[in-house]
Amino acid sequence: MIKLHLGTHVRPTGWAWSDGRWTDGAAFIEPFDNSALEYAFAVRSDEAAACAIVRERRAGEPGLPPDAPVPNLIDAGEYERLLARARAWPLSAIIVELSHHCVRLHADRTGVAPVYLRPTPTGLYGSWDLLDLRSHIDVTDLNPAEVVRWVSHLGHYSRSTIFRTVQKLTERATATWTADSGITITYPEPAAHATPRALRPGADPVGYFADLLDHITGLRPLDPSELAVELSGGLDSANVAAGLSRVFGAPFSSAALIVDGPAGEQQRRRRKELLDRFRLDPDLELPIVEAYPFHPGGPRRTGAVFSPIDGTYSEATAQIYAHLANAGIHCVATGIGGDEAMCLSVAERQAAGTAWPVRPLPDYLGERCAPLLDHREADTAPAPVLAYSTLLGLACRSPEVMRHGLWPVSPLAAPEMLRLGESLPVAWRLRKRLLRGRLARLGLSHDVLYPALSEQFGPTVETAMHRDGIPLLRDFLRDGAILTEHGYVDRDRLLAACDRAEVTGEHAERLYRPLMLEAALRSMQ
Amino acid sequence: MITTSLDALFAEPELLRVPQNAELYTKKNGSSDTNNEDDDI
Repeated sequence: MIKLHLGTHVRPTGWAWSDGRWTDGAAFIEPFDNSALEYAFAVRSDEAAACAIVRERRAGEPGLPPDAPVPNLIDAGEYERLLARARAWPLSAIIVELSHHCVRLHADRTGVAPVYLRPTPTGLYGSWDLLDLRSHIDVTDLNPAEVVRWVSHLGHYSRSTIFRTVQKLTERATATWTADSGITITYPEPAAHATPRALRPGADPVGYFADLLDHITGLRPLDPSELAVELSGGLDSANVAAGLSRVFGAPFSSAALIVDGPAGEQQRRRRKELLDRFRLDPDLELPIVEAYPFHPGGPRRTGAVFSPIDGTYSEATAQIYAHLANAGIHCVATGIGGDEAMCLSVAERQAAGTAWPVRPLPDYLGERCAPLLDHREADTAPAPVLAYSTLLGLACRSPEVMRHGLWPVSPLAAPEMLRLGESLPVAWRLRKRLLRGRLARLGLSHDVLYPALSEQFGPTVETAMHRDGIPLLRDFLRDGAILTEHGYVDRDRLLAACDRAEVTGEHAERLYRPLMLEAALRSMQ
Repeated sequence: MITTSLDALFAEPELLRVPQNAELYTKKNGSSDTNNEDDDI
């Protein structure tokens, strides 16, 4: 939610608000500019402390006064009350506390748009977009453990990033920086989570879910004329659209990537029913085959800078977000969080006979990474309020959305939603029965509730890698790849993996990750 | 405003616990490049 640059002489006074940012000489703190957010800057009356607060607007609250961003001297009691309200804010909020020669950043529990921090001898740089820090990053100076995690598909939520010199401010964590001591990110206490319990006879979890989703949806004062929903047509996004429709009325916009082949035709048909049912208009559909990963002529192939943490389909989603921004949209609703709310535990999956298949570990790690394979889970952040994978998903999606001036809203990622899901017996989570039940109660068809064909992007990635990805990866390896030249990946073994994929015609998608990382690093040089 | 409490749904009191790390990940792990039934869009 913020970008910042602070010099070695941080101070709580001397700040001014102008052109959408707070400045003190060359130092600045810049909140994300979006109507969904509000800002305040207060200086404690003894001038020994100041705070900048950026938070989501909350429906039903009077909100911060229009002049709140202008640095304002307030007494100690009011200052502490302002901080306390910000710390207890139920939606996204970040607090930057300034004292003489020290700054502290406090993250909230929602994990939307985490700040990436790059300390240097001359100051601290930070941004919600990793790309903003590229002029301060040596792209060959990677965190070997993060490289291992990335190529082995280990979701790992921590303050570490792929770059050794950059850290991420994780949920509820506090970053402290001084010019003398550098940066320290302090993790919070682990969060407790609910456990499954038996329902009362006659209980209506579907009804409760519907009411809860409406409640969460209504927490934000969204304007339907400036709102779009990412409506893939799956159960998560369909429920999000249902909630938005009930709370804000219609019409509001929608958009989606369309999968390839017969499943795409099914997806379009199911979406049509949802568009009609919830009166979504206008709608944008972008077939993934027109913008698949690493397609010739696409931004990744033609010199655009992109982040190693960008999503697999970010070239396509960028087109959607650009279109929505040009159409006057300010907020985009996503279905992130639905998987986690309905997730079965490891033990429940084993009992149900649906244990996840284990991905084979890559055999092409280089000398700097191979020894770390058994230490991939070190320094994981303590149990967050949300699920790790929700936070990773938000960290991936948010910059992509925000680069177009849009603010992401994910009602299913609310802590209360996860608490409901974790409390439900497994029968209500299995195959997302709760979410299907909600849509069934709205009268949606069997086609929407139980699609005959699996709608996935996986086959597109497989084809894309065979067609364009592996040849590109070979080119990188031939020319001298950053990952191989610096010992993160073994060139010969990775080439052998390319050969296997080409000979067998299978598992080319397993090479997506090293390709993505290498290509992103090259773009950032 | 939601009027029913979560506890009203259940026959048992809420039991909270700090989960193990593995329980807080789903398959997608922040990207959509897996290929299983649970990963339908």
